[in-house]
Amino acid sequence: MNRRNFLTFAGSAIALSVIPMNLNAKDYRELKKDIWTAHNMDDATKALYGAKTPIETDKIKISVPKINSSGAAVPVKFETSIDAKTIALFQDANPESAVAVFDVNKYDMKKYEVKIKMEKDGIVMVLVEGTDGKIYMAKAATQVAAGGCEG
Amino acid sequence: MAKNKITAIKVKIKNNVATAKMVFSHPMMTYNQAKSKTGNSDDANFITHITGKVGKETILDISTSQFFSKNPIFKFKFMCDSFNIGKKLSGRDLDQGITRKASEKGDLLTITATDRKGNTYEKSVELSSRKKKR
Repeated sequence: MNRRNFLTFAGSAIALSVIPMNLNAKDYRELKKDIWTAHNMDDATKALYGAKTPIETDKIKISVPKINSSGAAVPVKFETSIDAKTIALFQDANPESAVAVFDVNKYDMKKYEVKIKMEKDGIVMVLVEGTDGKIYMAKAATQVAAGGCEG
Repeated sequence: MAKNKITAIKVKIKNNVATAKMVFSHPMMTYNQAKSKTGNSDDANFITHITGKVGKETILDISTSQFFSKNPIFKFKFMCDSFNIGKKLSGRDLDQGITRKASEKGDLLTITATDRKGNTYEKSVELSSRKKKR
């Protein structure tokens, strides 16, 4: 291999290693801006997954405390056994409903725990987009004694 | 005001499943909070994206919104059987001056967070375990 060939080879190898990394990171804030401004869960679902109707399932487990003393940090645990492409976490207590969109990869065990803010009593919903193209969902209700979005 | 950063990441490994827990130091100010504080809802600042990587493999990719709590805590699990897991030394080992060989070092888990103002925060932690990899 002469020197010129080697240089072009090295150049293409660098280019190849950079491009997949950009494709890997999906920023749903840039891809689908409507999710983050939707004011209720139905609109957010439509913005994210289109007109598909979510199927209620028991394969998604959500655990939230029934009553929270403060809405500033409501612990939400959820997990699913469905082969998922993306997972979305929504709630209906705040001015906008989207909390997070997870892009699932092959290492992910699909078990998360996160603390969120809730302004008032509401429902936490987890949506899962399966690799079969269907949308699954589960809901859990929670009560909040003091809202967490103001002050 | 406290400096925004990733405060800590902890990784526990059991049966090839790693549980990573991370704490951020960030106000996560919503539009409403920003409006009541400064009068301008555009001052809102919150983490919008969190990425986790081991080497070149992406293991975590979330787009987040303002409704994560202030100084959010986040926990997730991932399979780590294809990564190098380092040997964690006990206190007694350190007292006796035992050091690790190069082959006993684990891969690094790097968490990168981006907020609405465009600042990025990064922190790395080594995947390590007391027990030998089975």
